[in-house]
Amino acid sequence: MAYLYNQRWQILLEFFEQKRMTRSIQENWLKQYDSIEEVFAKLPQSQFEKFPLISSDEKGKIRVITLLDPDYPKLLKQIDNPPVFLYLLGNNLSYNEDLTLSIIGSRHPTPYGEKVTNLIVDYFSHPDITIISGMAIGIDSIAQKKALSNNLNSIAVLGSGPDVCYPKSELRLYQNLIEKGSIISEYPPGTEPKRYHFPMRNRIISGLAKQLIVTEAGRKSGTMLTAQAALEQGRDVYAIPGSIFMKESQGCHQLINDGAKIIMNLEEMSQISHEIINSLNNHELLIINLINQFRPDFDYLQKLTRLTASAILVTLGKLESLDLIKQKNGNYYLTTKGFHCIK
Amino acid sequence: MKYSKINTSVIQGLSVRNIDLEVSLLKGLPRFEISGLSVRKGQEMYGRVKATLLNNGYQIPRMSIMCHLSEELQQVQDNSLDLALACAILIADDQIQISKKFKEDITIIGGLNLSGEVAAIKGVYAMLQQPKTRFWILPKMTKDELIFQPENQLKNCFLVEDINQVVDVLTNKNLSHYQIDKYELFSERILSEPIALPKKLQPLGQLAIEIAVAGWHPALIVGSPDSDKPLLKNNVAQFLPLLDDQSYIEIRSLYSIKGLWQDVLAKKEIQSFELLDPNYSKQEILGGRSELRPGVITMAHQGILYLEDINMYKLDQIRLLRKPMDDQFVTLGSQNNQQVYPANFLLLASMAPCPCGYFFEEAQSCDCSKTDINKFKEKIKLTILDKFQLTIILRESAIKKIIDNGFQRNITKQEYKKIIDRILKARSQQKLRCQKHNLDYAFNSNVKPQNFLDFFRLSNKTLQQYGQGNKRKNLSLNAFQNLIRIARTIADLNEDQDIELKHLYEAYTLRVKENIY
Repeated sequence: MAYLYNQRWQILLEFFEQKRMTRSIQENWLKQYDSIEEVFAKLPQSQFEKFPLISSDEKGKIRVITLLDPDYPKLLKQIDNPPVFLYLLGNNLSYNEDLTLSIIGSRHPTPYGEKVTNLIVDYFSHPDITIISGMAIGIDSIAQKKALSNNLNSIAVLGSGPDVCYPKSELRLYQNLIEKGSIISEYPPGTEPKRYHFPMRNRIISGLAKQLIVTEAGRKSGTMLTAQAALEQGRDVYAIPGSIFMKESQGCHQLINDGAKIIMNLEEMSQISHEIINSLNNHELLIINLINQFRPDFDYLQKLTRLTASAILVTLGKLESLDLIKQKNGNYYLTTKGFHCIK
Repeated sequence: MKYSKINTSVIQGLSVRNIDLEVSLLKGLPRFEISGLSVRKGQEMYGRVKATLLNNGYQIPRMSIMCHLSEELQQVQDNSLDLALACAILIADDQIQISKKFKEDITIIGGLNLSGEVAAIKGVYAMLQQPKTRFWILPKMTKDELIFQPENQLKNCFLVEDINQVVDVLTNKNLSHYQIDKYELFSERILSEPIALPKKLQPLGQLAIEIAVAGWHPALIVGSPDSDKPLLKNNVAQFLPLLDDQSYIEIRSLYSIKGLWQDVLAKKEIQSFELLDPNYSKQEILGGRSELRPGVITMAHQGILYLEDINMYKLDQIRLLRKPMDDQFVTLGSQNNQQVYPANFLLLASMAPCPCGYFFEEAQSCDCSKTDINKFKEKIKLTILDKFQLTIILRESAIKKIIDNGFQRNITKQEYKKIIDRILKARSQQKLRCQKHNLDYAFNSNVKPQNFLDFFRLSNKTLQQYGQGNKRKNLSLNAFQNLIRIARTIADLNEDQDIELKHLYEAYTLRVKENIY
């Protein structure tokens, strides 16, 4: 049983609590045994069941995807040195690669960074979208937690073996990801995280996604390395600006200086998302095109589409509430987001 | 004992009061005293009655006349007790012998001119709805108000022209002469005209009006002069479905009391439609003055109150409508004499988008500046925008211009019937929902906040699909609630059980925007 180190203490403490042992009894009970392994061997098995962590069964569930497999992510294939083996835990890699988004950032975010991260994930709450990150403390884990709570797909790329939860404090997220999302690593099961693993892992994070958003980053940080990798791979990199006095935003500003796109308000994020196109049906696309070309009045629209008045109202309402069109001065106009829907 | 008692009815405010008028002749100097009415009004009344009786060859007893009303009256039409008092004096003085048949079982209604003619009284229809006695004496001038009465009641009504005829009836002479024929009442004028069909409107306007009328949603119509906006004024009333019997009586009584019976006859089917005049004073809008006359909003009860071009009105005039729209009634009068008048009206207001009106049209050039347009919007924003639940934006219809060539066609009978059926079905849905919750009938637009959750339950799935994270979609709470109300009405019109996503979207197009358009 590969229970995690700190998890074992929790199990032990819970055991004490259940037996209602006082401090002195606890001491005496512990003194009976020579080593800590012995102590855990003595604990009743039921105690462990509450914490279904990485059991040996879980190890068996790890799948290996090779570069030659058809379900190897196509975007990842395009980068310079793609990993030959991907160890996968959790759901299979069957997501829409056009709708992938990496969100990364500092391990010590400010409240501003946390807020922005949550807002971004909220903005992209669409069932088809996938949020990719590194499960690190800070922005990474915040983004992935929010993604899971919004019922989005999420993929974590680890710098250790897929069965090793690092950082350990994100254990709950790790479990949830196995259940609802997926965990990827290029390192074989059981590999401990090493310092030099992480720059390598970062190229996978940027390689998997079409777009990368950096919410907060110090000037010299791992995040910057990921962003550099993304730029080299030809991905779209977006950075959130902050205050010039905040050292957590210096990296973002550097990126903007280097050619990353700046996100100045939430509406600009619509440039990033192509998600809406997929949820539109033919009538809606037709109406968008008509509005773009003729700016027709209601009667004319009805004549051209041959729909009932009620159906047109429904369509207009849907498009307007999706921010694709906007009613102004008695006419409908396309928004920037709407223009992206015209193919 | 020189004493007599006469039943009569008077209108106080909007309510009908059945009054016993007693007269007693006492020994003493000739004078007249009355209790239950102000001294000044009493003396005026006595003066009229005295002159009339003397002019027609009757005598005034040389005694002290004591008159008593069973109820204290404050706001009554001046001459409404004249005929009753004259009869009471004649009977008490034994100048005429009232036949046994009528004793204590006849209600005398009418005013008097000095020549002896019986003058008309307002509100005869309303009085007839609350009969206390079997027989009635009514002024002949008000015979039109009898046309909706059942035949057995008509048999017991006697229409009189002057005081001598009243005496004839009371003494049981030539009764058949004063009775009326049902057929005589339904003169050709009333039976003829069929209901006028409304004009064919732009599809958007048509649909929106349907929704507004079905769920009783106050609507703001913004449109250019060439759109169907001006047409709406004359055609919207036809889309009001027929009322139930109780509401009919309520509204006809209202018209009768206000002295507008001719309107009832002209319309035949009552679809109240009141145009608020920009010159109306506060009293004319809400009702009031000393006799507590009902105002425009009460006359529009169960009907439409139309503000044509909202920029014509003063801010204060529009603000007056706010409270009645919430309460659906209006309270008038001072502490001693308060009256509650019904005012459940549907507010429709039209406005042009800019001073010249052609702001929406690209073909016409509009020179109005941004400031002008903002000023134009200002008035409605400052007063009543938050009370509207629908905005209807109408542009000149390019198609219609070609087809109709300026002459609007009427809706065909089948189309009209279909629309009215849909509205009626939506209404019955709302009624059913109210009955389920043991509430008085309330429209979707005025369901109280405490019942909101019971009436407009949205499934979590719908809400999530609609909002996708942002639940209210940047709408204020008020706007979001209105959105759901309208979505409910749309679902009712389509006979859907639950509010679905498409209904929310449809309502979203018609919502009231913060910046109007």
